[in-house]
Amino acid sequence: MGPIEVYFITIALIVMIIGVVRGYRRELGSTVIIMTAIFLLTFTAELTEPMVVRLGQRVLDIQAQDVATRNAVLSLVYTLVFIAIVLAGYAGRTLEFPGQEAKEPLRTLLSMAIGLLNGYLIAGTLWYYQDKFGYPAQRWGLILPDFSDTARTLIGLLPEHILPSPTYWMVPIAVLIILRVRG
Amino acid sequence: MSDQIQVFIALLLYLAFFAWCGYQRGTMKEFVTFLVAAGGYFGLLRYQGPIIKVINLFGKFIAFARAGGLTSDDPNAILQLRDAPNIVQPEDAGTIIFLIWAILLILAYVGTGLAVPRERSKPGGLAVLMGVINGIFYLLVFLPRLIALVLPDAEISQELAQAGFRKVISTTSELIGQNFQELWSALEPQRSLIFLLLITGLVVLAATTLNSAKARS
Repeated sequence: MGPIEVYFITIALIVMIIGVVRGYRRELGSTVIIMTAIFLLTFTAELTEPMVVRLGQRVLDIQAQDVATRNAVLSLVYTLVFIAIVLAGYAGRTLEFPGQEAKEPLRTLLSMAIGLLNGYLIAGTLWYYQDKFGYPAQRWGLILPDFSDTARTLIGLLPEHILPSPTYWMVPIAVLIILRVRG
Repeated sequence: MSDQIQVFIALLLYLAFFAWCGYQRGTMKEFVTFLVAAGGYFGLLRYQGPIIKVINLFGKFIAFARAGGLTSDDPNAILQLRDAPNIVQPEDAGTIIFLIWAILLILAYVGTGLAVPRERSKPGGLAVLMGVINGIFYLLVFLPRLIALVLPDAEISQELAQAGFRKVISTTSELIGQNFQELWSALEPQRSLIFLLLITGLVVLAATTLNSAKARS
């Protein structure tokens, strides 16, 4: 078991490598999906959180005072929904941008940059849902409770912490959709 | 803090100069120059002993030739071969190796400028990157030596020269990291807006490249 930042940086790097392999034409489609997922989850948070809590109380019989279990369920639900949307953006028929990719080495550089952005958004959002609900993964021994200075600094740089309002996320999504439609 | 910002700006200006040189000279010229500079530097350091021996042997050969060893049977010429002093003394070996490297570097710049045609060394992003890489490499090589100019204290300059690459890299990365944090803190009220502009700019840049590539085809 290593420091928490190593987990999430590894996830971001793996996504970046996938991005280099797929090429930035496809990665841009995934960027739209990931940003849309972040927008939806942030925008509907006030509405969905009480719903999930009520559902947990009825279906799983979670007591109202059992905050730790409630947070674990909330974190798990948000994480699973986010992963499901991201997977839909990567697997099967995906949203692609028309046109030809630039020649090398620009192609690789852009694929790395967009792949890294996607990696940051994915890893950052997964970390955010741990941070928001008090790191429920600690219960299963998946995360060490003692965070390094680097980890504390990185928490302030998570996507949802830098852009807390869901409205912000609509700007790159809208620009990308316009560019996609314009072809 | 203000001192650090000055150093950081000076570093940026230095790298911008090499980026501009890289753009002007093109990728191929900068790449060949980098190969010569880096390969020459590490190669000369690695084979410093044999190179100095070859130079000293050459010196003895010159002494032998001047004593008439190539034109007569004078036995004194053979003695010259044995007794002639070494051109490079052990304490000067580092200076001579550095001098050879500096000459190689100048030849690489002049040679690539003359030999590589402009159409084979195109300007662009990669050329800028290669220029910056060259700039960083020269910084790593020159800085421990140049520091002796501003810090004449023998111990300090000796220590820095020995620390060399590692010292310069760690100090530079610390400097960049500190300045990034300070810049990020200073931008706190506009952090969201700047981040938004950055990610939007990046995706627009990538998407626009796709469109222009399509238009060309």
